[in-house]
Amino acid sequence: MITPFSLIFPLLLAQGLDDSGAPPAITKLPAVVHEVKADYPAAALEDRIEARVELEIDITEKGTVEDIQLLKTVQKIEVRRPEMTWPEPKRPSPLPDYGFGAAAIHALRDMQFSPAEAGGNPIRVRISYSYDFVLPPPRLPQPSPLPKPEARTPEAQQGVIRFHGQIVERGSRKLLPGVLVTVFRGEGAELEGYEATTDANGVFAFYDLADGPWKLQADLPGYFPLRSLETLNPKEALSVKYYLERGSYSEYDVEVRAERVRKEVTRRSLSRAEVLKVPGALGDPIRVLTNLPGVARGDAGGLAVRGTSPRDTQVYVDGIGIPLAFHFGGLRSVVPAEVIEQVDLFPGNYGLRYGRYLGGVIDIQSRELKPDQFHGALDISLLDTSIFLQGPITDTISIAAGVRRSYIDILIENVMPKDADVGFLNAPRYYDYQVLSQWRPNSRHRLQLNFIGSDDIIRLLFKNPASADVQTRGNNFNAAQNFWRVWSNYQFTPSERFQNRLTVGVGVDTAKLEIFNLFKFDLDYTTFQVRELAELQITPWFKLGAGLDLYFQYYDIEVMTSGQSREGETNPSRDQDRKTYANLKSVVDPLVAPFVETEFKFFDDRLVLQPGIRVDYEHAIRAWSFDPRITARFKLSDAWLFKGGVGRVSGLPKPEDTNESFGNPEVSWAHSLQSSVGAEYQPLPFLRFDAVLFYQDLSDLAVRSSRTVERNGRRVPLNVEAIGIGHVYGFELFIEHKFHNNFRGWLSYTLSRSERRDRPGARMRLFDYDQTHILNLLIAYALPSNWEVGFRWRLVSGNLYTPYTSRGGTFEADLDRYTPSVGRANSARLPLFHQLDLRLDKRWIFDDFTVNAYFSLMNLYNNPGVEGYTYDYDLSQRKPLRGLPVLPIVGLKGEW
Amino acid sequence: MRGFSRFLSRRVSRLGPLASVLPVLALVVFVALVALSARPAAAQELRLPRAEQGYYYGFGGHGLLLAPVENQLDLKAMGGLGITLRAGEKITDQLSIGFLLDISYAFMERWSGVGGAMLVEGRYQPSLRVPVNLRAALGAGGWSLHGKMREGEDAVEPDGGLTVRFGISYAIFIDHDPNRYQSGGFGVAPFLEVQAVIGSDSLLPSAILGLDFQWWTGLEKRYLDLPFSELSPKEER
Repeated sequence: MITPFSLIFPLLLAQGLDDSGAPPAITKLPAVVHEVKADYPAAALEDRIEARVELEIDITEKGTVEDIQLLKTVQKIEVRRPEMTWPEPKRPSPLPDYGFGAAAIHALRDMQFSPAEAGGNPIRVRISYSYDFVLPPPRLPQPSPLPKPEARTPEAQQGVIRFHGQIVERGSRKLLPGVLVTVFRGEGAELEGYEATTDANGVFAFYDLADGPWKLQADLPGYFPLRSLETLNPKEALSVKYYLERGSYSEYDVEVRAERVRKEVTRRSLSRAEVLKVPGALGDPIRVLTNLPGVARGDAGGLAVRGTSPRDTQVYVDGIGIPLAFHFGGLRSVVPAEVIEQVDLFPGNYGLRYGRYLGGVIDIQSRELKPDQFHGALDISLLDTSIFLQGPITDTISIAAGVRRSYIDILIENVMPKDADVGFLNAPRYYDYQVLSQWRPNSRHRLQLNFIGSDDIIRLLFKNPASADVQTRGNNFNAAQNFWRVWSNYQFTPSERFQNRLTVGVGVDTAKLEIFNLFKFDLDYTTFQVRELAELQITPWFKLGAGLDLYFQYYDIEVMTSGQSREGETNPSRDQDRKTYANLKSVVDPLVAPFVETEFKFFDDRLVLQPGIRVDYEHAIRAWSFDPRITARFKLSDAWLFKGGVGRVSGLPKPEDTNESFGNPEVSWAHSLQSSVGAEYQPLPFLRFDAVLFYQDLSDLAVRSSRTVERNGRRVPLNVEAIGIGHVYGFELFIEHKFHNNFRGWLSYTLSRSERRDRPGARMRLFDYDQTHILNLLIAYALPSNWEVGFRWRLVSGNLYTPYTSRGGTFEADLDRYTPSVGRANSARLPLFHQLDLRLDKRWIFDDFTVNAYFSLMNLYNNPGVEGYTYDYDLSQRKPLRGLPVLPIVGLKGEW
Repeated sequence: MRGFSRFLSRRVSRLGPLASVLPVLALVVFVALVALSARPAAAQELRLPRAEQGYYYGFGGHGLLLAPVENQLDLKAMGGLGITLRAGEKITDQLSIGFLLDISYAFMERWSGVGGAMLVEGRYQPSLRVPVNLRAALGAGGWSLHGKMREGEDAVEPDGGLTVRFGISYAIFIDHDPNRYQSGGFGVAPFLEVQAVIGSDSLLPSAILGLDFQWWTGLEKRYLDLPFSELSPKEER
């Protein structure tokens, strides 16, 4: 019996290769169309030797096999079992090379696959392929023929089915073709047996078997062998359904990822499987990104990427911008992992299709729906519960829906004492919801219609407000935020040379925030987004892409503040009697951004240049920006790749910076000249090193101004001027070990410095989110019996703070408070942060579903990390604010 | 009680090196146990029937000796009793992984304490012929110490944090007959363990001697290397 391992078992790794050697995202895996069985080496058959041959092969756009590379051959002696009655042969020691590798290569050359696809286009891919040589049972005697009737109808020519059945994968109900089923009885000379192989529906059948007991064995490499004892009764046909269990149900096993960069110097992609299993990330698709190079630790509101503010990094879902990354508290992002296919982080030098943000870009790709059968997932954890269902409507239409709700509010309401100083009018709670649908009539057209939304609320009532803040005279803390987005994505791929993608979306955001009587914020925001991108391969060495990023927004913001601190400032005096009110209201404000991107390939596609330009126009400030960008990649060898890029990115001014009351209507685009160079080294298929040096030159940043200006005949404060500059530079290292030998892990390290200068002539100061060292080490190990253990260790420079230069403050009678004398902005740093997290997973496999339990211990060695300081009323004493102690979290997830 | 807290705070600084070494040591042992299970996770070989197979559920009682590390108050070693609940799975012939829940009570003169821990436990059986298991566990735990001070004021000081535990056990299976292809069974296992709770203000080591009553579910027949005569006909039709 010789069974190509990957015929049935999902491919361990597939990597698409475009002509430049840089892979696009794979949307369809290759599958075997024509199978060729390798000849079992005769000597190995005689010596009863089995083998697994591991190869790497390229599958062309036409599905043929090229460039076969033999990686490893493992030969093993047949394991003896009690029912093996044949004698054990004498074998040479050590075992010679029986030629399994050559036999596998010979067979693979003649095999035919259906090609892999990216966006509906067939592409060339490289896959890891394991070929198992499994010994057949010894040569069996010919079956004793059943007495045949003298005359038979044509239908009965092949005999009477006495025993038939179907074999499916245990847990997933996936049909298993190619399973070798053997039935036999008797021993020695009396041995009688037959073989059958399951078809595409996992069905097998035996004809004309005699009555009585039969032993059955079903084998498929990668699965537990199935053995059973069946009895055929006279005049009855036996029908069975068998479940074969995989040796491992590790989600890493089915990981399929496009690893290397495509348009950008750096793109880090994580699949859903990785998102779900990273220790400390709680299975969250955005939180997990804090383990990647260039992303700072902390800040519950978003991600600080490469020394920029979280507000400078935008989150997209299928190219549609969403206003929030996380629910309250930052433990959960607003998009659950179940609805994503992959999440990409672009920490800088990103493609021209993105703009308006000086930091990074997070692009979440919604889940690719498959119209095969109904699936679902129910996830219950200490934080929340979510359910996700998907299924086919027709052969070409699929739909999925999910909802998640937290129950922190229920826990708090039951635990909080009735006489506590703080009461909850609404305890903190969040929920989010998603509906995905997809119509794919053929490989040329794909239409998606998706809808997501999120809702958060918390309302606190302080019975003794002074206990929270000695300056406070109000008693309310209210925060609510919700948004929804609905969008349609149409992808048209009429040929291999042309592709068009159009995305149209609309959404509404509302947010309300009230902090005692110090700050009030009320937002209503409506957005309409259009993204169009067309790409044409004009010649083999030249590709042209053009697109339009169109954004309409309408907002109505009411703000009341008694002092607003900017980045790099300590809290200003909060004189509650001097409040500023403003209504920031826009007319329909269009933002238009056409862009053109090109791709040139030279030297047998070893050198790829991608120059392009993006032009942004913001109607509200009536200002243009021109952002030329270029990236280059040079593939020196199969292992080495050098890359670099330089380009300008323009950042949209914040609404408060262009408002007359708080800002300056003259403030326009901020700019960043981003540059980076790096190299990738992949010495082994599963091991990759990626190092990048980056430098960003920031200019025209909005900073506080004390100047005044004549406006509408009045002398008014300027508030804000676009005269700030900054530098961010650093080094990122990413060492990745893909899932191999049960092990998956990565090490990411960032060394960086982010500085700002608030006015000409002033000294450079460190930026709020500057973190010099960020080290993340992740290890995941798949154990037998579907256990997985993972660790994450983080070592990060402490956050910056502005120290008080004297012990005790100065009492100001008119404000009725002590005010500190402060040192240079961000001139002190909190202690080094380090933390170890553990995650343990166990998956139980049932016939029609699986259940995964996880146990997570965060801050395993209980490091009392310092997250800040609090001061007593006269500022004479300070106490450290500690981070979370050791925190166990358990959860349960069922999938069917 | 304030004095007690101040005292413990001072004491903690002296524990610094020890508090660092123990977790690292625990981690090394845990990872080493994992590494010892060199059998590939995707392996699908059938296994010979044994007593310690499948899932285990254990209930145990133990005596303990708790010796809080501090030096201001007159805290001496305390004796006590406790119970332990365990559940887990033998994932290879030699390695088990599971969870452990422990509740203990200790007392000595005017001091007493209640402690608990929730740990992930790994067990390694060096030889299949000898039912001896080496145990290592880590997780979160804590103790709440109560004392009647001389001033007449009660002192209550809870503390907790990373908890590590090492030990050895010997399992005895009374009704297991290897000739009957029996997988799983009922056993008793005396054990000796040492545990340390590394709190933010104190170190709370203890020595534990106890007896576990274990129920091993055994493996289902589809995972066992059995002769066909031991296989029952497939039930699903």
